[in-house]
Amino acid sequence: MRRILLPLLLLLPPMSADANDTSKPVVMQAFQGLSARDNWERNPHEHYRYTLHRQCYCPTPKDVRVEVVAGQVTRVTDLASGKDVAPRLLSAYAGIDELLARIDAAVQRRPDSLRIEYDRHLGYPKRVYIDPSYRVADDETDYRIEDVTIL
Amino acid sequence: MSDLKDLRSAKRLQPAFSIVLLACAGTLPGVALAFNISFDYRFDSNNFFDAARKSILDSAAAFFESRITDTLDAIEPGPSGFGFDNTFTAKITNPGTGLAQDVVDLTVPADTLIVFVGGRSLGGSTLGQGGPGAYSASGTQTFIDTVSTRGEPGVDPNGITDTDFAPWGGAITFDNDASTNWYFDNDTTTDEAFTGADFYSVALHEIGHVLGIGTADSWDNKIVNGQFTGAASVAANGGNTIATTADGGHWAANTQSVIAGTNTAQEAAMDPTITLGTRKRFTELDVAGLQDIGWEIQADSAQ
Repeated sequence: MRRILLPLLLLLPPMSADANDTSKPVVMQAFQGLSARDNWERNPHEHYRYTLHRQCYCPTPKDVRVEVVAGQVTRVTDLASGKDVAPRLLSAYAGIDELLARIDAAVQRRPDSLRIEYDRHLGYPKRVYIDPSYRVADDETDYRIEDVTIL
Repeated sequence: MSDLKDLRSAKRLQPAFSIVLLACAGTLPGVALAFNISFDYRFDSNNFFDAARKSILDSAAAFFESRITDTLDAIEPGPSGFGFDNTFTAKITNPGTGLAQDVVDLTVPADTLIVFVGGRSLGGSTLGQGGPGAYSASGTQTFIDTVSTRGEPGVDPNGITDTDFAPWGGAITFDNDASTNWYFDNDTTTDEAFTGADFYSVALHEIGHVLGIGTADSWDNKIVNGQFTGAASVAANGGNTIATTADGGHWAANTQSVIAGTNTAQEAAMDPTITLGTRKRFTELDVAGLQDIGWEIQADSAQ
């Protein structure tokens, strides 16, 4: 059976992204980074949702579902109440790209305590704790991200 | 200390005489009137503070000034008398820029903490941040000891075995971006309905951090397996140790107590939670935390 199958497979047309036009194959890319974070930065995820659990000295909801469209936070839902956060407060939340930039900025400032874990597959920062200075309170960055859904 | 007792006695004298005596005492080196928190606005480069906001900040400081009785040595940089200068440089996070800031040859009067304050965008929706300052100093051993302990024997200059806390002061930054809708109350003695984030509550909280809650070595030294074990706090919490946040910076979220000087239940001011439209005054547990850090506390007075 194997001897027959192999020649048949070789007769099939090449795989393409456009099943209706096999004459113009699309260039596909695949990437698997040595660094998990590379997996996020090398794949242009601009539309996604994620669940955020954060600690901060702030009055805005700490456990939320964040929706990002075209790289911008467009909707934040308070998991406790099920209600959307007021639009003027959306700026209190960030997309993954901005969170990565904040991590880089914080690392540059030589924080007193630093713990960052990236999701090994998608590469987003799934656990972040940064204390810039032990001598200053309420300056910490402390959050978990989970349930990232690429749209 | 005797000077302070003399002054307190003076307050009970005839008004005209006591005014003269107090005025004289205020001009004499080494004679202090009371524990004082002095705000310095030189780094409020974004002009967050106006007269009304300064007044609320003073109201928050007044609570601590009414309860803390420590006497602290003055820090007075200058000629040592031995052919070299005593130097003192206060180090803070600049409230206006967020960058490291040195204040060279800062003079700190006796019994006084100097707190640099200002506003800038803190990102996210964080309302404020604060804590004690750092420093560098050179000069005589006596001067170095004064800078590091301010005359309080329980302060370990190496920061290991501290049972007391006596900083020169520190810095507080308040958020000034659109994410925060502040409520500025021109009379903090009354409670009324409001919306927004209560500036007075946040000021109390951040001053609490400057005074060492969540930031002092003597605070850290009383945390065992995530539980604060200070005797005064345990007593204020019905004999039970108090859970802290994972980083030890606050009481755990939703820690309950009563407003200081009252029997009114309230969530502790020094837990990490604040809700829009809600005032959080300092509670008995918060005050006990100060006492466990090493501050000398006098009897209750309602806020």
